[in-house]
Amino acid sequence: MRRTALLLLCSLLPGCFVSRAETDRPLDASAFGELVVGTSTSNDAVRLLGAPQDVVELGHGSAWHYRFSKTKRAGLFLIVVGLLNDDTQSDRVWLFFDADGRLTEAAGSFDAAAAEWELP
Amino acid sequence: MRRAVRSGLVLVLACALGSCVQLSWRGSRAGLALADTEQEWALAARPDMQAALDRLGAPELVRESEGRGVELLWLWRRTDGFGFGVSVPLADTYSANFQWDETGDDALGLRLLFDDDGRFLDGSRGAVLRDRP
Repeated sequence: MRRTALLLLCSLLPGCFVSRAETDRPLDASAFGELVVGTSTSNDAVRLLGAPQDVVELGHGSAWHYRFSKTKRAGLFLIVVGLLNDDTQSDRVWLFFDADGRLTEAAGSFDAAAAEWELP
Repeated sequence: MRRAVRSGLVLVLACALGSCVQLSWRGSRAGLALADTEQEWALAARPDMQAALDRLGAPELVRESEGRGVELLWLWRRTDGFGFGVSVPLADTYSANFQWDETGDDALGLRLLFDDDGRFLDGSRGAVLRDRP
């Protein structure tokens, strides 16, 4: 009985995996917190957060986008049955500047840590 | 001893079957859904842009909307699927295959439009057909 259980266990082990993938660097929530709407400038943003990933040109200014993504993937393959799941969450910061480079609106969401390993 | 041999044979048979029959379940999640109450608030309260950002967090996408102002999109997606496949070898170079796949894709979002001064202009929520320009 024990030998059968061991044999079964050995046959199942190679069929499961978990993996994690990250895109870009994690965002610093405390650095984002130092930015003040109406006072901070695009130079402050570069100093605190670095260069943005994207810049969207808007009518009277621009929006800067910072992003860090994390994907957790889990799979289990039991001879004829396969289970596969992935979960992607991200940290995001959007900074809106007027034509003079002054911060007019800002938002940050730090959800990358919410990515989970789970099976369907 | 006989039991061990029988277990081994069952295992070998199951492995061989695995090359002919496959069942699969797949799931995928991207982004966290905004609560219904938050979406309803955004559409009913007609907040200015900073108030919306403070309450809803950072959107997935920001773009200019054809000279009307700034469009913010919060997006989230959940996909679930089930698949079944059978492959039967008929000859050295031929085999018959049957594949059935069912996938449910829920791509949802909230869209808010603001003018250049950050005043609310318009909003909508629901299924998203295309989330990238």
